[in-house]
Amino acid sequence: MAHSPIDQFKVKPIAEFQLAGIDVSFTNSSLWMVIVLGLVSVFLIGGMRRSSVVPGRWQSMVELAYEFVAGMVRDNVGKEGKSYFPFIFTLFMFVLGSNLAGMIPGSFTVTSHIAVNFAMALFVFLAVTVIGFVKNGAGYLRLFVPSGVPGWLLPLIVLIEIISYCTRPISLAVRLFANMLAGHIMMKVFAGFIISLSALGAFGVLGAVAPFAVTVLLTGLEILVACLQAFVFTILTCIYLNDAMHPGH
Amino acid sequence: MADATTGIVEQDAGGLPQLNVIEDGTYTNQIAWLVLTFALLYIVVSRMIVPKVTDVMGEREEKIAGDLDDAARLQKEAEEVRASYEKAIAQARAGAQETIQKAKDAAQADIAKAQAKLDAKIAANSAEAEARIDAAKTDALASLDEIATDVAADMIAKLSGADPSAADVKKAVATAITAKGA
Repeated sequence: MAHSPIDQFKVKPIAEFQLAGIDVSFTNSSLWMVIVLGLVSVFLIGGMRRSSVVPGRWQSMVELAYEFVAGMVRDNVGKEGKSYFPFIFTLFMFVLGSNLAGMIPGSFTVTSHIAVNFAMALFVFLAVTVIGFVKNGAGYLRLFVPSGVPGWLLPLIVLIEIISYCTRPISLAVRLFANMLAGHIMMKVFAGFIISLSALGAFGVLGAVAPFAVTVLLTGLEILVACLQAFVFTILTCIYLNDAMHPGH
Repeated sequence: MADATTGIVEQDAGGLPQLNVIEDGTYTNQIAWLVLTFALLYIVVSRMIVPKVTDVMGEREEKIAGDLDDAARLQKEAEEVRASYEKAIAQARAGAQETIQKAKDAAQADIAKAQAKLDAKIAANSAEAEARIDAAKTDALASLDEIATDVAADMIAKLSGADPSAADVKKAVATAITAKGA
């Protein structure tokens, strides 16, 4: 009955597979990735199934999400970012879907695993770096040389810029991971208080009202964090992409 | 409650599962399934959703632009109809004014004609009446001489018993009248 607050993050295999000697088992994490894929696809396809010039409620929601991300790309990357929009929209919907699906009781939060987040962040980092060099050639290195810095300070600044550039995937991945981890642990801990307190008899049941209220508030907060972190992950990707398009501060 | 939670935590001594993914080897299956599901979602988004939403939004923009054009055209038409209506009203007003003026002029002319006719008739009547009065006056004056002669002859006959000739009496009366008149 009593589960540890970190039990929810355990990856448990459902069906074991191996591909070229690499473990690709279908796990609870994979299951929830597939569920997120299904939910997001149903949301998007269902909304646009009977697309009309005057949108219904469902279509309006899909268009709202689309316009939200399109606006982000437009404002942060500019017109050249249009060709990357499908990827950024997919990224936003996948992270948002995973974060929100993680709020379903008993579910597995895909984005609470740093392996997943780091894979996404590393892909964004490598893609941005490749795009940056393809678009600007060696001129992309101007990104590390801010203008208006005195010459004697330049080596230090360039070093700092390079370090900050290389830590981008780590910060991107850890930010999402830490938010999901902390929120979910907190919810489990407070929810655990309710069970342990109410086991102490009538007095304990009365005392369990406080952690119950906190859990309800935390649930609302976590839904906010789920949306906010999806937004942050996406907008940082846009900002990095903007650097690749327009290096030089 | 502190005892309860520490009891729970103590059950699991392995630390965060997220930080053990290399040791327990689950990172490969997580990344593999992430790549698979993300790629599928990317295909759904890029092949089905983005073209559809772009189409609908383009269609909407076109529709709105078309509707605005239609509205502008209809407004222009309404403006034209209003102008022609105002023109028609002005024309009708001018026509009515003209008709009224004509009727007024005709009536004026009729009145003037009738007045002239009446004036002529009155003038003719009064001239005729004057002529009649003049004739009557002349007649009366002529018969007055005769009467005076007769009366004078009678008076002479009655007073003197003489019988003067009519011509003499007449001559005398005429002389008297002339003298009186003078």
